[in-house]
Amino acid sequence: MKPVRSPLTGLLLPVAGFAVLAALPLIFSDAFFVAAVTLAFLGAAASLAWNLSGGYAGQLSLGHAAFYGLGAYVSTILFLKAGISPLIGMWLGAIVSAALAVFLGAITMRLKGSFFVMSTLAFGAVVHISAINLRDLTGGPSGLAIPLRPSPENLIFAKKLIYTYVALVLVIVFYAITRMIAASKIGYALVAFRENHDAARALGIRTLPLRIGVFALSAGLISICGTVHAQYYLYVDPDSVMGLNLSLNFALMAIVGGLGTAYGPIVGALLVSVVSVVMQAYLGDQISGLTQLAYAAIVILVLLVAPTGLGPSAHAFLKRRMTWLS
Amino acid sequence: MAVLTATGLTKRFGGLTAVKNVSFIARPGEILSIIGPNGAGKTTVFNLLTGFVRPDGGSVSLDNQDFRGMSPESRCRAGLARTFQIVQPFRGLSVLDNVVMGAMLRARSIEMAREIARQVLSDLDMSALCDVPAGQLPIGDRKRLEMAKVLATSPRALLLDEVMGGLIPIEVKRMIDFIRRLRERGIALVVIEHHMNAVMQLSDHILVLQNGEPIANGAPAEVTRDPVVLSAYLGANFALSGS
Repeated sequence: MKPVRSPLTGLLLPVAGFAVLAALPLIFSDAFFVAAVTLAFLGAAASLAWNLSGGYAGQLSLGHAAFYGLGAYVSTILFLKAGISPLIGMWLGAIVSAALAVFLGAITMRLKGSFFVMSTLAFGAVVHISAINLRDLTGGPSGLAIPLRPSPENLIFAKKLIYTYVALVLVIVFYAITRMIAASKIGYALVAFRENHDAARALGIRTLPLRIGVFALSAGLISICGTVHAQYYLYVDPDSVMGLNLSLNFALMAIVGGLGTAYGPIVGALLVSVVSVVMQAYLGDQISGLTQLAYAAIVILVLLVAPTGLGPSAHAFLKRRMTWLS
Repeated sequence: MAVLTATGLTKRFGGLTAVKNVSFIARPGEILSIIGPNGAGKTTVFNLLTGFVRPDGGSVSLDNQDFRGMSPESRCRAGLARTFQIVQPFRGLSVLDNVVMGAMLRARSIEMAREIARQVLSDLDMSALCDVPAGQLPIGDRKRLEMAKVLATSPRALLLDEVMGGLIPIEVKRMIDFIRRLRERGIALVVIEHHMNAVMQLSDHILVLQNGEPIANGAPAEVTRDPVVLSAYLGANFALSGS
């Protein structure tokens, strides 16, 4: 049987999917729901960026919150101290993040498996602690507040719904970038590295420069999400833009949805966000900690039922059903 | 066409000398077999040739290009490819994508690599298996896939590490035919093989290793009559009474 490479999986399905996503906040226009969708979109974009390196190359990073936070801080500090628009600041943040990723990658990408994970964890902690301690620059633990001056060039909007669509644009652009890379020689080389490093080397596939390059791209893209985060909350502090929780979430969304697939992080982000919002709404005022407990239970359940992630597992299930029927 | 030359290759692992002073020349359109008992250092020789292990002494060159200090990736790019004794498929990927990984080296785009991969798979009678995940293949097909992957890199010199291992007789016969066709294409071939029948049918030259050292080197008929070789394989008594 030939693989299904119809236009349906190629372009039609993603376009339809994004149309549904775009319609969501218009159909359910209640403020609570729009806020949840916005955060889900922003999480999806960040997880897509994470997935380029963590999913395709299999280089599991638990330090990406550092890049996310850098994006938030660089644009915010430039905006507050020099009046530079976040539309420019986000690119500068991305450049800083990408440069730092090249530096980190050049040192740590020779490490294998869990050793690499540990190094990213340490890197994330160092950047987080630095943000807390560089008080003059970052405002320390109390963070930085951005004055509400709505205007497109400040990337500040009075209508929260606009942020929802800004985040959705990021999702679509990052998804397109992912698809392009996955279908290229670069994507194949990354997968070869992930699946079997020695076999890749024996076939003449040079992965180190590619892995560093994609790590930098991943860091730069997630950094842009950080800038949008800052403009959405109009507030930046170390724990909320650089905390370990955040790094874990970027990875978790991709893993739950389908690691190393273009749509996986989007599916994962939507599910994770829906679950956490519902949990908070219904269990929030009950026993404290119950929300996190239930959330963890659901994540474990999903991974037990769909070990390769929701997307790929559903796909495999449908395929089995189809062959059974035909 | 390329000549693969190994000169005085030596490798020590701690106190053990795994490979000692191994030299040979593999010429285009010829098959050199390396044989020897388990642990003789055959696979280590391949690791030294391809750069997965750094030698303590000696050198490797392809034509006049010295491979000193070059990575396995660069050596493959220069035209020296290998298979692994324990096959190394990309398990999660389809057979076609596995071969595409090899074909990328000489192709400008994935589409072009796919064309090359399809051609190589058809040469190996594997076209029907294109969409099968590599992890699900039986061992005989995995060995052929291992071969397809490296052939897709268009090597000028090719090292085959026990590609007959685990094959049933009909598959061995097909593999022998296929290796002969590779020789006709002018690829310099170095083969490690335990399947003596295949070795005798294929080899133009045989190099015998024991405890890492070359103990014989020559045409198949000479080598199999060599008392040193017989005693290494079958024990000293047999060699004496046999001669």
